[in-house]
Amino acid sequence: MRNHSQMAPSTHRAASRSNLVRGLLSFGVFLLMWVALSRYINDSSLLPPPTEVARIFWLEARTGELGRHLLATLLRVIAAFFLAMSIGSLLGIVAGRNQAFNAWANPWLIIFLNLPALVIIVLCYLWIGLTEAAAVTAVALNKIPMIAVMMREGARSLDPALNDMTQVFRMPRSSAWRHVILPQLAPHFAAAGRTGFALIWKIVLVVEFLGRSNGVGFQIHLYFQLFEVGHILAYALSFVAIMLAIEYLIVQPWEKSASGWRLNES
Amino acid sequence: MKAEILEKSFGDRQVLGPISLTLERGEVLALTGPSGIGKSTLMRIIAGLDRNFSGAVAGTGKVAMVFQEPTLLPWRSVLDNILIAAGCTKQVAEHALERVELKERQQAFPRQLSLGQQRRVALARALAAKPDTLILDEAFASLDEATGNRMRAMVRKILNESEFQTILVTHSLSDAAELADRILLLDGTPASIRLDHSISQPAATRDLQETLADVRRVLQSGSK
Repeated sequence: MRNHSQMAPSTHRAASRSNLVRGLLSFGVFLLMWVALSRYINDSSLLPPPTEVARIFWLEARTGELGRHLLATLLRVIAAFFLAMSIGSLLGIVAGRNQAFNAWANPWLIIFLNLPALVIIVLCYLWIGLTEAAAVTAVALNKIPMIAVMMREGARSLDPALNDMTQVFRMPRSSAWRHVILPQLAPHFAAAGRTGFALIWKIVLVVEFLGRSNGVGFQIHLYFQLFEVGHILAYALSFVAIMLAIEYLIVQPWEKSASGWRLNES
Repeated sequence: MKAEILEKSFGDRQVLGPISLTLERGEVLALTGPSGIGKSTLMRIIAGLDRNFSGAVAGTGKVAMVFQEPTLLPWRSVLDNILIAAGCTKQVAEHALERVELKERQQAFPRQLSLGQQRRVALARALAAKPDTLILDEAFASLDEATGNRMRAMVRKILNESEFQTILVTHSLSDAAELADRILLLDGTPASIRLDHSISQPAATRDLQETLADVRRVLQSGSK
């Protein structure tokens, strides 16, 4: 069976183009279904058509409100993401390489994995206060256990033969980490980062919904109380667009460059 | 090099019994014996990969090893693999690749090479480390006949030109008879040295068939 690594570059480009066309067609079908449904419901306060949402988007963007709230949410997402990735990766790698530490950490991981996000958010607000630190901490705490578990699996799957090689050749520890261990962990970092990002921004909206005075989640809360579905959709879809842009412009190119050596297999 | 191993166990199971082993500079020792007897365990102890044993190993100096699996970094080029592991200069790495006839493939990635070529890269990596002790662990296993013969000839030439002490872990008597100065047979439970046989004829000039027949005869009389 042929796989991507064995495809000629021109075949690969043609496949990418046809996937792009399919993706655009699928998006077009989604828009058509939205238009059809809003016409069928015929109540713009319940489901406004895409044109109405676009109009609201434009109005909010012109006043600067949309940008202000999107930026607030994005900064929270970035802060929580880096906090969760740093702590989660560290915990996971140590747990994967040290059985004694894993025996200590595992019950905590299980507890936090099973604590509902809402409980952690509410407790953080109660214990720390309705502050930015509480919001970011709550989001990070929700994500750390999952990242730790994914990175633990990565650390467990490190090739022991390569580990022997680094020992026999007495490679300096920093060099072994940079050239041998981290490249093996790269796919796990990418997977943890991708799922982390996808979940974190959703949790950030809940955190903002419950206890912040700006951000997309706060705006959704506001327009929920005003029963303004158009505004809710305009804010939510704007942020989805930003997340998709990050996925296609940052995450996927990074992943591709990190695993580029796989394409060189004969 | 001198290894005095009193005992090595995995849990309740003792794998190695008392083993006393010395190796001179420039000497090539073939460590042979049945599969699963403990050759790899002994080799790991000598390489410093297993320190959980009773006894002592001294005089190994800088160790380099050619593993049965080439254990190359698939995400780095052939040249980088040597530079990173051996910690040598580019000139030394290129010279090592020249010795294994792979200089022209230095920018290739390991998975673009055949198993035989990957083993040669692993050999170049070991040479570039300028070792005092070289360990070759089943370096010719799983190679087709032509590739195996080519690699053996290459290793023989390199060993003849080199000063380091070499341990060749192999289950093939033919490999041992072709390359080694001394053959050490490991056998029994727990494993100990059953036979320590020196080959008088130098490797460069010896007749392989004659040496092999001689080694077989000695082993048979030693096993009785």
